[in-house]
Amino acid sequence: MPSLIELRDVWYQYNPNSPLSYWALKGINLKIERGEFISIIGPTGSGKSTLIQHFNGLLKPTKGEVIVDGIEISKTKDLKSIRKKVGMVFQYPETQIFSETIYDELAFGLRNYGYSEDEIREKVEEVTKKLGIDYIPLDKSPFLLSGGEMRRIAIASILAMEPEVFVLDEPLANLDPKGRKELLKEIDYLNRKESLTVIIVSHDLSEVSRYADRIIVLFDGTIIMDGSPREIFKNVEKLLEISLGVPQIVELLYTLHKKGADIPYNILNIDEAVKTIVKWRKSLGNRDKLRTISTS
Amino acid sequence: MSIEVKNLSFSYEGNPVLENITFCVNSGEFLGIAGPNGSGKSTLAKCLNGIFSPTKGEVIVDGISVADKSKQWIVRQTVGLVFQNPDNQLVASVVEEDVAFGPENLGIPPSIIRERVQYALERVGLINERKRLVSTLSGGQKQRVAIAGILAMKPRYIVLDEPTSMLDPIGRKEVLSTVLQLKEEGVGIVYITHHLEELVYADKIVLLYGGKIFKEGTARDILTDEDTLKRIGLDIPEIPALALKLKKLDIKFNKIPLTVEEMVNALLD
Repeated sequence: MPSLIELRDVWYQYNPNSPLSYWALKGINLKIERGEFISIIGPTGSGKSTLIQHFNGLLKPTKGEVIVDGIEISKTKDLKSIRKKVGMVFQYPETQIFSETIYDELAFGLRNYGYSEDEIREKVEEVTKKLGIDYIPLDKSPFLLSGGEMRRIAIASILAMEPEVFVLDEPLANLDPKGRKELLKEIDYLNRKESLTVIIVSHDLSEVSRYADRIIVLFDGTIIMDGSPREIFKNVEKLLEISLGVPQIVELLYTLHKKGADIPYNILNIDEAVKTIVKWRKSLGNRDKLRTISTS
Repeated sequence: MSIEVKNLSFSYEGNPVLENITFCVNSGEFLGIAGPNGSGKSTLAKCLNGIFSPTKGEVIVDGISVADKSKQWIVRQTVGLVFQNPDNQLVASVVEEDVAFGPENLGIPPSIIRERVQYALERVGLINERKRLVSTLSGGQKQRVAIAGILAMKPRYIVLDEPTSMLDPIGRKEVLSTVLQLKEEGVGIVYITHHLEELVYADKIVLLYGGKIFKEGTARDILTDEDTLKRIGLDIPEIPALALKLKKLDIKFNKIPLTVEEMVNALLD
């Protein structure tokens, strides 16, 4: 079976043949497999948005190949089926809501793909359950909802098309802590229980890293790191150097390490940090005892 | 010199949004306001310079009530507002023209405007970008241009409503360090956010919930009160969260650290 998405030496140039031309992607090689939960991280201007727009053919590589489920994007005439496979949620998707009722908003894409009205109703009801918004009446105007609810409706409208891979560009921006946690949990559930492949774009490592099993770090149009969160956090120094937010607990342990403490710093959560610090303090205590014995 | 909020209530189309809010910000003071979405934070920001007038109670800026429409311009000059999205607040295409827009509207003579623009852009660290097109700036730079535009009107207070929520980590740091520097120079700061780790340097924090003050106190009181924060759907920042867990395991702290630096010092002590 081919990879779900594969990029082979992809280069992308904006404004070619003009004084404003620049290369946003410089030789990207990447394979995304079914069922992965990936986070693409990079500072502003690193090429994150340019990269994901290659996943469903919104942009075509200037050089190189993008292959989605065995089909090369630059050669196919059937981009419609690729866009159904690769669901894309852009930043602040709630600003793109336009229908008069929630039902129409969620049904819009499905109608374009020619589903019957019965099938559409079924899919709409299913997706509202999945995203925990089935308490909102479907005949209500989406414009009367809170920001967090509108964000969910916009996300649900893409999910209703039953994509194989779900790409979200900064889905948590502007949500409050509770809203962020809830949405991340729901996306995580879709990944684990429904084996939906998930790709989340973010400039912040702290939150998404708790859920993603693979982090890809983009910098200046190239992939500079690709691995599990634990592998990525080994490179704190580089992450800080390119101004990516790392979790404060990772920064803390790294600072202690630099000041001579013998501790690992590629930890994933507070409980691990607690264990690491307690263990380190104990070893210090023992060493002090040893020192007292040897000097006496 | 202060913004005094006394028993402020505000209703929007008959629905109460803020109820009986009382607090005070002095010049040179950094007040943090935090609360979940829908707690009334942004409405409160707009009450502080008279965009909204109180339904009940008062907001008094350096002795002037914001409800006094004849003094509206003085109030707006004294209390500058910076919003979430920098793209919605910038009006000109060139950085220095944007910064000059506010003082021009106040009818200030051109020679003084030039001084003010110079002063404001120096304050936010963008003097070398004065001729740049706004559209070529990063989010953090744009937000600092918005702050400069406010500074050029020489306000005594700046109210920032989630100024970093659309910025990346470097943009956040830029904005926050600019704000802290302004505080040092005597500007009164009201900083509204739901990212509590941005409030570690606040002198006081007010927690809003359902339009009311839920709790107020020093940064250390509020940011280490895990139960209260959890109850209103906010996250305790990682460093105090870690410290509280370590404390339960008998690692002693004179005071619960709030920043990485404080924690490093406490642990290496």
